[in-house]
Amino acid sequence: MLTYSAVGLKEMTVAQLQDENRQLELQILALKNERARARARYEETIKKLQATREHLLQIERGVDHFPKDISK
Amino acid sequence: MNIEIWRKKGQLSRLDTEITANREKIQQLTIENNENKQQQRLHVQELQAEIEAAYERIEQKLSEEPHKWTLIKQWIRNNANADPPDFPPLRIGERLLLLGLINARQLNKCLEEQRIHGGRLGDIAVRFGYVDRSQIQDIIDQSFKRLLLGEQLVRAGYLKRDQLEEALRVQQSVGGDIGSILISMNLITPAQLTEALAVQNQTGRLMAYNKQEVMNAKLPEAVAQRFKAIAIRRSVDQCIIAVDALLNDEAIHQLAQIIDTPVTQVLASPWEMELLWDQIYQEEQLHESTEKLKKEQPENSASQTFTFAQIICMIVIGIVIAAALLWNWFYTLVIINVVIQLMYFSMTVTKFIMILYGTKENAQIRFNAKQIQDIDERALPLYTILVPMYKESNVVPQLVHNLDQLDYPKNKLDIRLLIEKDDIEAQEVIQSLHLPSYFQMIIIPEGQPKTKPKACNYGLIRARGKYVVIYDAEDRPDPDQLKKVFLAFQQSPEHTACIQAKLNYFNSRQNLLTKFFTQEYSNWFELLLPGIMQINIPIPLGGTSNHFKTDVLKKLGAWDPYNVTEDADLGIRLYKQNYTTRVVDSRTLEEANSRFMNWIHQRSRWIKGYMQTWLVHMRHPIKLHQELGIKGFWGAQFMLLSSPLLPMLNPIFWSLLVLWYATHAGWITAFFPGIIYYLAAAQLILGNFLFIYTNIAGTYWVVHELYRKKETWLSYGLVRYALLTPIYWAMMSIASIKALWQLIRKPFYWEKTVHGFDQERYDTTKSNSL
Repeated sequence: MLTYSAVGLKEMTVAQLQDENRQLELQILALKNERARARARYEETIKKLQATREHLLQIERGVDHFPKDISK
Repeated sequence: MNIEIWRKKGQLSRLDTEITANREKIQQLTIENNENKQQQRLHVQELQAEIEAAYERIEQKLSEEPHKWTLIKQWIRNNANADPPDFPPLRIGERLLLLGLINARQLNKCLEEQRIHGGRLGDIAVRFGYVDRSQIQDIIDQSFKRLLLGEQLVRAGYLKRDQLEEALRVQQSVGGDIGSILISMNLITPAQLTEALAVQNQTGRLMAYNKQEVMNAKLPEAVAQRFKAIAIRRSVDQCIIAVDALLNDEAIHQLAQIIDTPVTQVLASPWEMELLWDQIYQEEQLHESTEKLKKEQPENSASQTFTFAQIICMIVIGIVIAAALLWNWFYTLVIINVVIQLMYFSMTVTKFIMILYGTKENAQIRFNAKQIQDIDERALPLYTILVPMYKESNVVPQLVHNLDQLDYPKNKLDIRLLIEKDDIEAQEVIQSLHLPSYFQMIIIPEGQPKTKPKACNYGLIRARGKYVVIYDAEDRPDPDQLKKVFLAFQQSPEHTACIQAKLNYFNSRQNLLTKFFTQEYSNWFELLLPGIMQINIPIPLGGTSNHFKTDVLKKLGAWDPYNVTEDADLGIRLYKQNYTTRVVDSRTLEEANSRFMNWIHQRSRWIKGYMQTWLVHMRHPIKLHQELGIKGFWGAQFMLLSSPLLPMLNPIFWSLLVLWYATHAGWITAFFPGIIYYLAAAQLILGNFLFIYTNIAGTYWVVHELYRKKETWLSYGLVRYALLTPIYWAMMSIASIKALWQLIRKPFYWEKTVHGFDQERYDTTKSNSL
């Protein structure tokens, strides 16, 4: 009888631990997703900012090389 | 037993180790994420500072050479349609700076405001009082050159020229706008497209917004729905609205009149709009998805199981039967038996007739491979696919694979994965898959009833497709199904509102239960349903793979969220409104229930739903008769009553048969007087034979057809199991009694069917129906 109870208790503990482990795995997945989302947002922002920076460098060069006499 | 404990101990210690490792991993990931975010934020800030500095440097250079600056100003003013030599195309802020209308500090302030709240830079500069509206307008009028969208994206650096050319080639063959093609090819992001569209159309772009501010600016839902616009900021002199397709001047004028404020629109991507709708109008949309049918067509809603009149009617019938039993119980039971025998007989004959009709070649709409190949893909419309699911994250990867197999231009797909709010696991799994943009996850808010039709209604509210179809998470539709349905709609009369594809099971070989289930579905979808279509009586639709015209479906009030077989109910409502349903020769393979209790849950829900549907539509039998006509009325009675009634009555007559063979009791014979005896005997022998025979025929029909097409996922060996069908009937009887009990106790309770027990073993996704 005692053996049966022990097995029952163990089964319950295993189920609880499995559930806890599953929740932890879900948390890991959520953190990985959060990282991927942040990365995608970051990359898109950086791409846009780099394009703007490049664009402004071209304007700067344009200002530098602008002819002193535009009639030419 | 000690070995058992020892084994469990081993398992426990393994689990403990895993849990500890996972906890550590979470800690590590949290730290890493925070560090990454911090680094990313710093990098973004650095670049922003560089850009701010660049504007200041430009201003500095110009100030240092006033003569050159004057020349640049002159050049810009005199050559308004061209940019200065060696300059890239100038944007409005840069023109303002170079013309000396604003200084670098002011420009940076405007850009910061735009970053935070969105809107057009020119409008912001005017609002801050840096420039006049007329100055901005002059610059826009002189300098604005509308570029083609692709050019705009190339110029912005989001797209390479060869990628654009490739997308243009795709556009020539499949049609549709270039933006959606680029997104479907994963060449640009929806945000980049929206930004390019905003520049192209000289309008603002939705940036970050304050939810509270948006809530305060909220338009009435009907107005928002009508204009497909959400107000994000509202003051006395301006209302900024977010749209995913720009409104024309007339619409803007109408909206301004309604809200009595000038309107400015900013562009948002469809995905951003979806998020906004969800945040701002969630309550209204939830209400619409649960209460619309109930409010607009209360007579068609199952929100009330029994009406007062039905309760009275049942009480009266009960009293009459009780009184008759008291008066003469024997004759009363004989009369009841006579009625039941006549009903059995009529149902058997009707089913036989339906099956005969179902065997006709034209009972299903059929297309050959050439007809499918000849479709001009440019003519294909946008197609919405709704996939409601709950706690089925294990089948999501397979689902995505199955839907990706569909032979349909991806830029014309609007796939909506409908996930319940508390199903966090599915949400995370879907996010981790980084799905293409034509997949969209819609979170269904909490609220009762928590049913599949409610989720579908929620997903339908902003469905963009001309046609809409439902698939379950484990479904494997034939790759050419959408194209076949498109052709079927083209060739059908205008009042055809629904095309039903046939359902069958990919795991028939798994066990006896899946074999029974496959036989039943083969019979139902291959013979019976096409037969019903031929006779033209109401068709109880299958749970998935029913393709609708979206506008008709919305007009009908969509699915009844209180009905647990919303598909069968919708079939009756379509018929009431004189719409027809047709069956197309295309299959969707599903997973047959392989576990007894799981099967009982599912089947009892179906039977309960048929009872619900019958009760709903029989609230006013005379009116229903007028609406459906005599054929439709009796057809509906047959379809809706046979499923729950026969399995409930069968055990009584099986018991009588066993009892008679055991005892030869005279009172049993007495219940079957005269012709009723012969009728019952014919039922017993011919009726049962017919039911078994149609199972054999249906199964053979499908297997034979598949073999002709060189598909072997069903085998001829399945046919012989039809001889064991009576076992399946007994199971149906158990389910029907449970259904009746649940109809009284928990009418709206949606008993969940668990899927995904045996997905990988039965991979049929590589076969094509043609």
